[in-house]
Amino acid sequence: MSSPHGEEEEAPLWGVSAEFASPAALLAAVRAVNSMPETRIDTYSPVPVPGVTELLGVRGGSMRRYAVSGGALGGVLMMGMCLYATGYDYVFDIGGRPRFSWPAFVVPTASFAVLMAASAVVLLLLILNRLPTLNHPSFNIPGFDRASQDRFFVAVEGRGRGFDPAEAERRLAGLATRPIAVHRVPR
Amino acid sequence: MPSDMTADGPRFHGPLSGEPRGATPETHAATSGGSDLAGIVFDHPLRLRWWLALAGAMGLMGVLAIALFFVLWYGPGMWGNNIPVTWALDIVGYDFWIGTACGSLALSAVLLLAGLPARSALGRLADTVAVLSAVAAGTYPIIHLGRPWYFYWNLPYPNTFLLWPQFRSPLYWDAIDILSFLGVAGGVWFLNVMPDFATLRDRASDRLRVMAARAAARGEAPDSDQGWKMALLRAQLYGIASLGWRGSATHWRRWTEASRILAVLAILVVLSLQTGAAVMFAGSVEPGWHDTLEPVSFVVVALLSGVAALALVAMVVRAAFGLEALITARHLELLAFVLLGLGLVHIYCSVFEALGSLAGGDSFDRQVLVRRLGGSHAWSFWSLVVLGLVSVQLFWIPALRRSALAVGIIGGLVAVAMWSEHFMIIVGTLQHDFLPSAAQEYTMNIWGVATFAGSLGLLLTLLLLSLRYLPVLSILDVRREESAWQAAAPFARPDPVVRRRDGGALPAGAAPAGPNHV
Repeated sequence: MSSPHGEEEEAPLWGVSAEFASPAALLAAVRAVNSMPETRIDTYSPVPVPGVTELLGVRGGSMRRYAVSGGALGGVLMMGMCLYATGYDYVFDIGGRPRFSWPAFVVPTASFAVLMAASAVVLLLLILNRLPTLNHPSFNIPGFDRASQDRFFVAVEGRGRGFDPAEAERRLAGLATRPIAVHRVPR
Repeated sequence: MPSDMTADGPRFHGPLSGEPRGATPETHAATSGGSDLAGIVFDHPLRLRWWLALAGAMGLMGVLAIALFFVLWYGPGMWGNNIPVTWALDIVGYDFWIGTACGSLALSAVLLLAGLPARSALGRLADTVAVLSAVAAGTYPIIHLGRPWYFYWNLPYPNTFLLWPQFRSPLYWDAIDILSFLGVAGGVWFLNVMPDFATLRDRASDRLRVMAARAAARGEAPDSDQGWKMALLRAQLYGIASLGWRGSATHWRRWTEASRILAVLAILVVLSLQTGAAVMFAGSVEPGWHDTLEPVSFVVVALLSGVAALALVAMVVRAAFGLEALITARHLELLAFVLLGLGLVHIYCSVFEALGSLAGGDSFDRQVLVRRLGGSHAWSFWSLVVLGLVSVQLFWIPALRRSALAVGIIGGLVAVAMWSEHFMIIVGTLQHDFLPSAAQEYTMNIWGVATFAGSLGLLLTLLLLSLRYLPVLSILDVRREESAWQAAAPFARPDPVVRRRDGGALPAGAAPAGPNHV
């Protein structure tokens, strides 16, 4: 099941990948390799697979925090700038109207807060996902272009000397639903 | 064991079905909904009709260029604006387009949050209509300033005059609202299209491989194939646009969360912009713009025009690309019910605003109402009533709710009605406010109409380009819907039926291999 190309054996090993045709098979594969020492498991799929992040132990719920912080920052900045400009820096006293006329600034404050919240979410999504990226070892998996179409991949990345690629191959090949392919993937 | 089950659980029919390894891109294009959509992008099934439509749309864009040249050369007086009707078709067109953008974006966001399967058919189109309407709206706000080269005076920037913009002015509020809307709508659109770009990138490289293999079989170099350079360029462009998306589980988790948060933010920015616009009108002293229902009414008008424009576009796309299997009777009914419901809310708002004017005791407000019903521009009120509020009542008839033709036509009529409503509110008040001596008739002229037609041309050109180079529906959403069906009810699912161009239907499994097949 190892790579047919001899030269890949000499390239530094990134991990072992397996390809499946269904999300259920993918979940079974993740369960099989999840306990392996000194590895990082990730899956690649055309649609989000429910339950996989729970299996992988990915922590979540962080994006909401960024949205709220971005929104609060945007709102405070816009209202602050309007109040500073009209109340301190360039005061117009017209008929003794109130100096801190905050209701006049609610419309731009609300909109700008939403804009900043959205910008924070989009930017942090890209930063946390390390995107845009020019390349990634997962793209070395043979047939990986179908990960965006109709195939489900699991990759067991080696993270130290204790990583045993033969063990990963054995576990993946021994699944009840046999994988379509198992490969050793160079870095 | 039922035939749908394998040892592996439910068998996947659609894009997730496991064909034998080595299937060519063409064969899996034929058997899967999501890939069909990508196939449209590459195979361009409407070659001639698309070029004709593009030529028409670009002709309209030429009209825009000519109109804007004369408006910039001679000034906005070319539009026939006068004192007191300082803003007429320019603000009408602008409010209409931005309202359409808001309505479309809000519908897309609601579908996403509600997790309705309709999202798969309508979400991408709604996002696209939203962004492109906002672009069409963008032709106006800078041009109509009169001295457009000073547009940045409206924004707070460090300047040698040591001046701030007037933060208490609706002009400033509007500038910030528009920037926010563009940012959020663009973010929603890009986030949702990014995984599709990755699909297109991989499909494009599939095709490169097929081309290279064919060239190798002929014993030639791959780039000897005609069209190799173009195909390579497309693969590279889609690759850049996908930002290197690889569908990692961690990425999907953050992406799912981010797209839901952006949907909430999209609804908030729509509410903020439309209620804000009502507050901007109310910020003046003009009669007819002060009812407390006005913010609600503005939101309803925006939603109506957005959903109506989406209905029209969706029905045209459905017919043109033969997407009857994806945009189904269920989606038509959804659009019809939303239009009907919003139409009823609009009637409620109109009636109570009229009652408010009659009972409110402000004679100027009452005169505005009377002029709307019977003045020189009464046509705008009556087209609002007939084309907008009466026409949607046809959706009480179930057959019309399921007819694509009816949904498309009524959608178009409602969009026209909403344009009339903006005209009625703005021009009706401006041309006669308080003093008879300050009243001045306004009539539309060719340059105002040409500018609006041109902004429509800009929208249509961009829409045609996006239908050509991006998936018309979200590949991702179609796949998710199909995989959700399989996971939830593998037995209850009806046989997937793929419709052929000649009108015949055949089960998906028996679909003939052919790139143009939908």
